[in-house]
Amino acid sequence: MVGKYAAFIWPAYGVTALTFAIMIAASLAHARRWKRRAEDLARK
Amino acid sequence: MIAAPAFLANPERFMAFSRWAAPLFGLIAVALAAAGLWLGFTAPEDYQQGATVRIMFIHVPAAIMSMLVYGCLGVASLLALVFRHVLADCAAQAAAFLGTGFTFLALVTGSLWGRPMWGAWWVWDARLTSVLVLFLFYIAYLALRASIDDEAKGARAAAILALVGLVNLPIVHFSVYWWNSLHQGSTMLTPGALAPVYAAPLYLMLVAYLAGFGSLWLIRIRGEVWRRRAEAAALRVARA
Repeated sequence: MVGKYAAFIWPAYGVTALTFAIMIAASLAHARRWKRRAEDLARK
Repeated sequence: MIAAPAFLANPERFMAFSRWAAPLFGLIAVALAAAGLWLGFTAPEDYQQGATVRIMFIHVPAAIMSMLVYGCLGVASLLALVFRHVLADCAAQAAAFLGTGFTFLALVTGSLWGRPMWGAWWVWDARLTSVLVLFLFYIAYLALRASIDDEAKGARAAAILALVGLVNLPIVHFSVYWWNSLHQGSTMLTPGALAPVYAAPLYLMLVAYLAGFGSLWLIRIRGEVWRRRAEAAALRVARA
């Protein structure tokens, strides 16, 4: 599947997966945090 | 073409639309990426590049997205500057964060592909250098926004910087034709340049990246809208 180039192919896929994970987690956390804060303040 | 952005320019309509569109785009991205990865890893090795051809399925979509997202950043910045539209500014800010990620991926996966093919992790080639400049524009945009306390002033300065950076997009695209380059020309825009066995996973991954960006862009814009609402509410509470 990746043969002798495994040392290049797996890191490329690993970095891609990690970067996507960071972009997804950061975006969801940002939206959730501010939604909660806005709703809390709206109730005051 | 004009109707859709005009419809979504209303924050209430945008929030209602993005509430269902963001998860839908996310599901489409996951399904297409799964199919693309399956086809990509079951495709035969290339007669010249061997198994490293599999890096193409993640490198090319990331490189295309790095330019496309910058185009979104430029258009949103222009709309924010001209019409002072808050959602356009939110869209620009959201695009910058995601564009930085895609450009980082284009550079790193390109380097990991270049080492076995060219014998070098990095060369000061026109294509590679212009993509590095693109990455620096993204970083500069985010840094400039973060460094100015007055948010409106920071947004205006960053929008002007984003518009200046648009000049770099044609340089990135045409660099392989204007200068002698180690980097190959555009494969996706040349009919028949890619065998169907490689074209299928590549196009699937490209659409998956597009859908993934669509989903994350909407989520980040929603977050920005909530942040501004929270800050406005905090101000109201403080004055009461």
